[in-house]
Amino acid sequence: MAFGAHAVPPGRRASIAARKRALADMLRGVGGTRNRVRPRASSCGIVFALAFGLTACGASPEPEAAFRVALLTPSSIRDAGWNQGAYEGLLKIKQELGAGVAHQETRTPQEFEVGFRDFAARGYQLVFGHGFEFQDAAATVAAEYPDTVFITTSGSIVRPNLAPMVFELEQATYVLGFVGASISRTGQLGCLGGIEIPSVASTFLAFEAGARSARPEVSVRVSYLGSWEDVAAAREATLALISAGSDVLIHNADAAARGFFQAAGEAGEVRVFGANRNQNELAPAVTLASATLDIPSAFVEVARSVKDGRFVARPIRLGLADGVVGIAWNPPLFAQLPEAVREAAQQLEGQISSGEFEVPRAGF
Amino acid sequence: MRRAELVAPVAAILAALALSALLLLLLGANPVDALGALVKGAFGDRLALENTLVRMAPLLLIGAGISIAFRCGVWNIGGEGQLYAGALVATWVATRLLPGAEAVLLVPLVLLAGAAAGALWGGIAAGLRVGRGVSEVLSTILLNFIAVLGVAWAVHGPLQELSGAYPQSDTFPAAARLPMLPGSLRVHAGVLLAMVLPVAIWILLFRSAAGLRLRAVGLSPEASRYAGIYPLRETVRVLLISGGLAGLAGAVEVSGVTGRLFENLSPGYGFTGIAVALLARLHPLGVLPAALLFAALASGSGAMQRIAGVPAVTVQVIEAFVIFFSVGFALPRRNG
Amino acid sequence: MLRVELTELRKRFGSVQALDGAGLEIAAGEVHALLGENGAGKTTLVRALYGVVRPDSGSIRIDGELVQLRGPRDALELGVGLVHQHFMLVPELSVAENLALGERGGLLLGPRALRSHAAGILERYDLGFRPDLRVGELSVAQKQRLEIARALSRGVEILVLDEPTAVLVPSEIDSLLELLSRLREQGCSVLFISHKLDEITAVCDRVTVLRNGRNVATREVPGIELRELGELMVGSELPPPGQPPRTQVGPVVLRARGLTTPPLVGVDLELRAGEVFAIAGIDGNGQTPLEEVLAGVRVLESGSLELVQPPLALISGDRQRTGLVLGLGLDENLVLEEAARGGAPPEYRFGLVRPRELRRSASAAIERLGIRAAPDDPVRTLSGGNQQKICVARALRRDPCALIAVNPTRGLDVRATAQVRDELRAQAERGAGLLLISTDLDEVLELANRIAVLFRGQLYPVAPAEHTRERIGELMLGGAAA
Repeated sequence: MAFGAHAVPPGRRASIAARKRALADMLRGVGGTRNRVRPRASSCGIVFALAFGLTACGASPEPEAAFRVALLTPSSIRDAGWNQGAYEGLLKIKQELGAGVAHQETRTPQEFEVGFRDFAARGYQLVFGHGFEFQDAAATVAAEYPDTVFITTSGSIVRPNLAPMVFELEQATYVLGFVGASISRTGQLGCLGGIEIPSVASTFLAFEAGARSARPEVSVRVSYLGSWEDVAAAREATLALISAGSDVLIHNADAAARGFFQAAGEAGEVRVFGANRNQNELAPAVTLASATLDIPSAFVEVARSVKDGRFVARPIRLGLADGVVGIAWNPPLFAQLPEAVREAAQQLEGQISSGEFEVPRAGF
Repeated sequence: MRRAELVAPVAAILAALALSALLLLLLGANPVDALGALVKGAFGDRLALENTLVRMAPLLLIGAGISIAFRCGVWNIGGEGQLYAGALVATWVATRLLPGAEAVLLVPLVLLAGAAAGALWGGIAAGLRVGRGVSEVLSTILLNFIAVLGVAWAVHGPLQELSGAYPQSDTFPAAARLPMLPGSLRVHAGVLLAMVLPVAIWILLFRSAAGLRLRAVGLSPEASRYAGIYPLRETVRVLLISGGLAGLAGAVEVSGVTGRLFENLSPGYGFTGIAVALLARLHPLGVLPAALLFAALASGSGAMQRIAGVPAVTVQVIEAFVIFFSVGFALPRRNG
Repeated sequence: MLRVELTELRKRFGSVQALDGAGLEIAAGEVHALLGENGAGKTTLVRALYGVVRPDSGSIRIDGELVQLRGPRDALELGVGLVHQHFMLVPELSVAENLALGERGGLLLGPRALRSHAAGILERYDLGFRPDLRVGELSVAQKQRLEIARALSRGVEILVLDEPTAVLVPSEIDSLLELLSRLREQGCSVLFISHKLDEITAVCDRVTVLRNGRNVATREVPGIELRELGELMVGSELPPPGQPPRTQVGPVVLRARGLTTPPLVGVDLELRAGEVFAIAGIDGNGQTPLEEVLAGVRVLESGSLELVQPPLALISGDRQRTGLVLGLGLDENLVLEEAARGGAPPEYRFGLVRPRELRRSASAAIERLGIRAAPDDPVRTLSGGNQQKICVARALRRDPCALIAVNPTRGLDVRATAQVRDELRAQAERGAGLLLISTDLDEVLELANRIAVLFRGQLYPVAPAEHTRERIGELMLGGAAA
């Protein structure tokens, strides 16, 4: 599968910025009650938050288009990360392929199954389950509805109408691990994960391998939150990693990562990496780079193949070469890196992209 | 339940619906379509109805348990933890202790193990209350965290699937799965069990000498003591019963629905169970319609997202309205 | 001039028509008595006047003005004050703080202003205690005075006293009545609720009699006959006062040796079958601890309690807090004690209730004691007299050999009192030992074969020759200890 050169379209970037502003406003509105009770301000904040939720999700009744695509996410699509990327992919499918789209936030395996089954029963041709945890439910329902294609992002189960889409984020985290070990003063790196699942562990594994390729004696500490959303716990865990000596950190904790960036911003004397999206703006003073995923483009490509009847069920692996995985450097901090490190990093990126070098990853 | 007592819960539901409709209108959605989707998603077809019934089961068990505990003046906030404890031990029995046993033996054992574990979890709170005077409100809340983390530890450790890939247990052997009820609806037998047990709890509470003691302690510990009742003894009993019911809910969930244990197993059944009990005005039979309502709301809310395109946040706000009003309006007035 | 006119008030609570066209007129500077049996509607009527109960229909005029009372605040504004049967004071706070409570800006006063504000009131109303005393340490009579002073200090000119003498001993009653006549001289109007006829004739100008939520009559008190009042109240002839039972005294049924738990010090007592042994005394001398020991809810420091002849039954002195579970029905309260001790009441089989049997025995108790209620009415909704009768009915269910009754007729009207006393007397005549702990001297003298006085935690036996009102009153005030 081939993709064109990857670039963030300016329009999307603007919409992300607008959404971030809105979110900040919302937080201010709610936070305002803590200092001084100003009912009007806070209720405005709530109404605004609701209105925001609505515009972000585009409340529209069931689409009547011929080609219909649905998305199940495991948590909120306003996480500035994994789920938001998927939702943007869904909107992009709507825009570029003229598809009718629908989304549901699902929390339990039971809901996964009901969601898949209901969309399939109502004639959706393609349903995404956004995460490895959807694969059991997808496999069950795929057997019942052979005319619908099911895609799980990550996972390993393949059926005639079910395939996993695997993002090789490891290719980017390997490079970041290499850079991180090169600049670490303490020789200790930290990783903050949301829930300990293979796809997350694997990105840390590659991060550690990249670090050792630069400095074999480096040590890597990994900490898991047990949640994708607990911002406070993420902040605590990050501060703990920093005080234990980690001075370069990466996360893969989805929405909880806000706490990761907060803590990093407070600590100051560290360098951190974002994941899944360009998160350099979240703590611009300390975020050196983000391992990015262009989920929207990947979604559109799969949807196009389903729409054109070209879909073949096999694991879809997408990495640096496809432009789906990338590394977004934070220019001022990148410029501060030693010349040699910058060059080595870019060389490594090229080698991985061309397939000359294969990044180790967990088998799952 | 007297007729007057029905007014408050019904008013609570209507108020929540009205406010939800207003909210939807404010957001530019069509409330009739959206709420129609909710109803359709809860009862509209066979799939929807099955989903609602299956979700109702844990709410019934926990709601009935909370009702009897609150009636005795014991504020058991630990349904969630007791559910997890029950699910954990039930999974251990099904996947590690006796995976090869016959269904006729294994299913009852799995359920009993879950109930016993939930009772034990409630019993810890009871022990702290009796031994050290720790309020059960505090201890049950804190025990929730321990149980949830205990399950997280188990699925990363001793109970993790043998392939070791994901943080979840092995699937239950078929003999440990609750059988499906006969008939056209594909719902597991736990649903029937969960509908029968509140009736048993009602008999216990309102038709037995033991229930009279429980209610007397809840209404007036002082007068109960004078009558020769030991209030602490009743506290222990009621925590064992309500913990056992929540633990059973956990076992029913893993054995009947998911077929394995993993983190975040419960979407807050232990807490929604409290709202169910309050909406039922702590009446074990009132729990039946109240649990049905909350289950319908949960399964219908998915349809509201899928069919009417109402965003998840809005759906959550609507659910919160129902809980808020059921707690605010339907809470039985407490008398001194 | 009429200060208060209540006309045709109606109020319904559930199935009970508490007021059914009741009315009342109070003139300026008069002490007006309100007389009626328990459940006649007296309390509801005064609560309507105080703005606590909103009548379904009827009118309330104060100083000729038609008013709508939305709460006690409105009533106080118009000069109407109510002193409840159960005092509305906070025992943990000081006298001064209690006086400031509810006063506009009262809680904002600093300690010094608080004290001087209180000292002024205490002096004006001639109350001889310090403003920094905790209210919990005051005697019942002192608390009552404090409540009255608090009301007057807020400009109350129409003072309503809800059964103020029920909690007092004779000497205290006399001084309260004296206070009422002084208030009258100062131009205050007083509404005095009582069912003690002699108190009414001693101080009141007029009396209004209520029965079943309706006015029966309003009469000038001077020249009225006690007999006539009594008959107006109960609607028939008054029962004659009873006599102590004349029975054969049998063996010991209950024995206590050296009971010690503060403030009780080495209390010895023996209760024999067939006798009524009364423990008289002023409230607060150890009655409650003694009751708790006998009920088995209090741990002894030393001493022993031996129930020689079970079963034992207790009629608690506080029917609302310890005697009954107010949220349960009459029927379930009846069987609670037997259900509690694991023994199955006959209305239960295999631990499950037989509803028809339960209903039958509840109806039997209702019939026998003339309780006005349905078997499953929550006892909270019943009047004090009916509640007390349930306590009695429960105690008598198992034909106890030892029966303990603590203030069994407190707050009951004449007829209910006579009825309860008859029941108790009958128990002694049946052969039970009755231990009567009572602060009502009339009751003690009417029932007891043998009397002792509880004073500061010690028990002083009274010789049969000394069974007189004067001698026992003296002992109650510490005559033996001196």
